[in-house]
Amino acid sequence: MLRSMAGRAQTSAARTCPLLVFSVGGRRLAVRTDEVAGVSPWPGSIPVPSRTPLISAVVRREHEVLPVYDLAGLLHVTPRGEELLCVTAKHPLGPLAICIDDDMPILHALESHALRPYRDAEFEAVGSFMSGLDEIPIISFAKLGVAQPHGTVS
Amino acid sequence: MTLRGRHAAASIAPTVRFLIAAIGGTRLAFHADRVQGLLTLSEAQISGDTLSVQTLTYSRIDLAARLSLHPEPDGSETRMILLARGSQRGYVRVDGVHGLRELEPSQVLPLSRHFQSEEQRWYQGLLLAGDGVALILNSAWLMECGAHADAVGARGDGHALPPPAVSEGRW
Repeated sequence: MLRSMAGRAQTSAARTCPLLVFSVGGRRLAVRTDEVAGVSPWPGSIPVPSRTPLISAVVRREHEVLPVYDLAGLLHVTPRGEELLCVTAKHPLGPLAICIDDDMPILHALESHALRPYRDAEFEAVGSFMSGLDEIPIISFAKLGVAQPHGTVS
Repeated sequence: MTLRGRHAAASIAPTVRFLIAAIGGTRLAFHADRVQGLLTLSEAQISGDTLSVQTLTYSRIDLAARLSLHPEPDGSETRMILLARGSQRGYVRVDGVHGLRELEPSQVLPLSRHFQSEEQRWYQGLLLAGDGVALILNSAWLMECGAHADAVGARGDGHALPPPAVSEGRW
């Protein structure tokens, strides 16, 4: 009996993907929750002159300094709200800070059958899902800004 | 005995010193052992792209242009930082100087690997300064463009130049 229930629970878990849905410049996006280290108030960024696309600032939290990925710049929008939020993204090269709108992100359990390909070529997404009439792209934080390995960027 | 031990341990701890300055609101850290002096605008004898102090010539290093920074207009806090590395000498105009910091090497933060382009050569890391950070400039990169190479020193005959007796102005 217990084994059977556990089996059903595993099957159920395998069919859903936990996502964090957030917005940048009014544009809704989603990311797998296991790629998110936290959400906190935006501390303000400190510019760092740079030639790396979309990475030209850092944020400081006490004694920690994180590079900022300009997701709003990628989307050609500006974050909205009086009290912007900061998503700390997990990334193979180390954590990244991303500025998002002041709308509190929400958790969403995506049924696997609801996952669909994202065909808009504006940026790379791992898929999308429909929320009402809106198509919400699912991005991967782990793939941000790593088109080429370190040292090979021209 | 105990106090002497602690004192000895503190005195032998290696430290690095940085001069903290700002251009266009961006804080920059210069290795202090490369800094030969500071001049105010009124003290600096600038002719074209060179600055002369006694018999020494310092070439202009346009750091603001190289980092695409927007410097503030000349003012009472403007300083010329005189730099030397081997036989190379150059000067950098900054909006102001924020002081001297002495740190243990472990307090220097590495530049994140997310910065994947030329800036990995520009900076040697970061340090916490005030409520922000200062970017530690790579002296070799800083001096490689525009810095004046002394004719004697360029021959590599090993004669060390005496530091110029210049006013250090205000921090």
